[in-house]
Amino acid sequence: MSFFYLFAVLAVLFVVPFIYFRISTKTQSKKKTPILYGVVAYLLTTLSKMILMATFLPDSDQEEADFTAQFEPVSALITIVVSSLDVLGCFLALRACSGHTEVKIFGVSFAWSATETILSFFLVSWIGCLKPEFNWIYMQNALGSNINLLRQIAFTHIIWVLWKGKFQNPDKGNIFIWLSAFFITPELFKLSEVLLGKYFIFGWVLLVIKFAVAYQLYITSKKYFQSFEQLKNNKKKN
Amino acid sequence: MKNLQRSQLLLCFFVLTLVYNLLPVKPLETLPVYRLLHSEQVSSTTGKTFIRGTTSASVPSSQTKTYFECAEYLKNIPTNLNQDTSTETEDEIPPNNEQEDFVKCFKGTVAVFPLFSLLEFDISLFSEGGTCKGILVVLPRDLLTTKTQEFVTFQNEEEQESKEEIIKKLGQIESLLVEKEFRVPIYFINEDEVSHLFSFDNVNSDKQGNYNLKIVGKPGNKKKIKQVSSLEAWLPTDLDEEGKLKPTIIITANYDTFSISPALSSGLESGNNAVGVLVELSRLFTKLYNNPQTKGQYNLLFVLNSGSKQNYLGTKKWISSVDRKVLESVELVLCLDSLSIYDDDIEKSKLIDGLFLHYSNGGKIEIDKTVPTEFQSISKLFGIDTQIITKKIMKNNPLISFEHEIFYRKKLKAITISNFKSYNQTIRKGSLLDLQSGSSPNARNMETVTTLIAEFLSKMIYKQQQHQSQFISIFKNNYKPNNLVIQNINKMLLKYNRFSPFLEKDEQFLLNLENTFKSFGLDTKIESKKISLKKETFYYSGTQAKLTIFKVKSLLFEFFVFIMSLVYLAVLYYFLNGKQKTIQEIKQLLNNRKKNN
Repeated sequence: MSFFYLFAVLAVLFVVPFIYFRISTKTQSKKKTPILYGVVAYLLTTLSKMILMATFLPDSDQEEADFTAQFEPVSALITIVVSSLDVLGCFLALRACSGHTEVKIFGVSFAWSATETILSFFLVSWIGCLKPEFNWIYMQNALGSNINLLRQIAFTHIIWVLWKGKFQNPDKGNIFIWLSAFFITPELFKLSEVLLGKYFIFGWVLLVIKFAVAYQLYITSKKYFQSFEQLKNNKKKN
Repeated sequence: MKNLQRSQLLLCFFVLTLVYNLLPVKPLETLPVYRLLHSEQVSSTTGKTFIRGTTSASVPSSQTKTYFECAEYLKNIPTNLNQDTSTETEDEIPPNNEQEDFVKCFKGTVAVFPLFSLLEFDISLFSEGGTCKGILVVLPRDLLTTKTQEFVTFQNEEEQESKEEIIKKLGQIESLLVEKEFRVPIYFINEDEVSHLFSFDNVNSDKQGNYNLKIVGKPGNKKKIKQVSSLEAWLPTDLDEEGKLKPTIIITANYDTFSISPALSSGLESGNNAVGVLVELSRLFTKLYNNPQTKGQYNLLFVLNSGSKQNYLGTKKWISSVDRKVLESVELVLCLDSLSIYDDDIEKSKLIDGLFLHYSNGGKIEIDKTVPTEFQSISKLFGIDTQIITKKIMKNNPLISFEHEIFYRKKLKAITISNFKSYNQTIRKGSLLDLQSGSSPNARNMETVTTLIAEFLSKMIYKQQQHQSQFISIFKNNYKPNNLVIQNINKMLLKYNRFSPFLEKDEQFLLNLENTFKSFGLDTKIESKKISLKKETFYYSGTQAKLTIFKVKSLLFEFFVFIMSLVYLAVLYYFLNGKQKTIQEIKQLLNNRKKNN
């Protein structure tokens, strides 16, 4: 027996966020508080979302891993609405912690993503990777969590821009559109899984599409963040 | 500090190993497999033991290797399978490096062989322990489905010859598998169960998907033939004027079979497809006897015996226990052996592969020669060619070739009807090639054969004049043999394994047959007789097991994935950190190491 596959999956799951956080906040100190607040915010937000989903989401007999499951629009709409709680959670975490802007943003993003990874993928990967039967899905999940990290960083940037700009940003209309994209895209991915699944296209193709979308979101949110920082610096100079 | 970290890492590794072993593993599939016969013969005089078949019973969890993965070593291997086995000399295969390489190729794995690949090498190479962990023989779907008929139905002479050769060679393989002691477990499995896992059509099998096989089985309990059961159905006629029994005709058949895997002994070819014919004959004659105008002047006794593959043990036991009065009234014993005839299309003008009528002559018992010739002439009318074979019985030779010899030795006139010319023909001994008569075209021939035998018997019973120029058939219209009865009996028998040593007194199929005879109105009984033999043969139960299959990752592939994930991490780090910073960090790291050293 060997643990190579398990180590490979765990490395992709946890080392990548660590690398990203370390590189992004290398020169800064006081990294612990954003991480702590990020973890607490994620746990509370997820708990609230679960309570709301349990209350309002209709029963479904389908399993999550069933690629041939039918897409349910009503459930998707409810999920999108409930997911908007992430805005509140992220906002509260950013507001509560202190420190440099980059440390706060990357700290909260990293904590949020890492907690999600531990709770969603760690145990499943641990058990699955040690099975005699090989399955690519665990590596796909690990790479998917990396893409979620990218998405989370982009999301946190957008929240920061909206919060600090106090809704006075001239691009706020577009920002809101991009913000809504964060909630809509997961459901779109579920729909595409169903559609592609009918043509037996799974896994890797979907992963590439997810990465492309997440990267686009990251680029756009980074652009908004940079333009906001520039505006702020110009105001200070003035 | 560093030592502490290392010991912590080691501890983690051991904990992980322990956790891995404790975790329940879900197998890919669980399939039924059938073990090769394991028997042991002990001679009471010399005390010597001859062990046959496989002695091991479980296959440990091991990776598999199919025949094709090692077949390249077999290009120049001579085998003794092409030699004439009638010389009975066992020429040893000359030692050959390629053979050793072929066997070594399977070391530590479970060898998966398609059945017909056993023709390509000598299976006895694997008889010693340590050659491989186990052998899984994949039986082609043609053997065990009704499509078997396609395999044996010959379309032209050239095909016939090659298929006969294959049948002959398979017989040799089966003999070798049963007569040799194998210290590795050998199991059989149906092709349909594993065709999606192992590809035998292409030489290049999917090596990325390796499979781990595991069979948990016990050697089983030792058992010997303790008893044999006979089923009798008595159709009497009226007593004569003195109140004595009128003459009796005994019609016998055997319901047991033999297979190199006892769990696959439900076939119907090796001398036991006459059961359906016998049952149908009993129904027809019961119908005739129920009508006072057509009641015959003979008593009819229909008997089904077991132990035919153990030198007709059942028949011997039965005949020794029959009522003396009945025995004295017996005029003829008609033994029904295998009765199927292979053909695609019955053309009445064309004589096809037919039957053989065996009887013994010499000694005090002489069969009236008109009896076999009568049968021969009737069979010609049905388009069946019957050849008459006589054989002198050697009283010192205990081997019984055909069932009639047992009755001959008891001074009874007896004949055997069979489609086998010789007693030692391959399929007759019992083979995996046993056909299932079911709904195959062969069943149509059974109806013809049943009519033939019925007409022959009726000639005796109703004493039809021999010199009549025109043949008057009785069995037509309402008295025509019903194919459905024969098919239903065959279908019922096909559901049960009927290997004698493993049969109990109250087997369900025997009870079903008893009920069938009773439903016709016959006086029926099942009798079980205890057996004690001078030469004990022990058989082992545990003939069936469950095979669990796990799909495993090859270690190399896993390592490759691990390396690729490290490369991914390195590329990501390089991309995020920037080229210059990364190079600086690497230089710094190397400098620090040099300083420490």
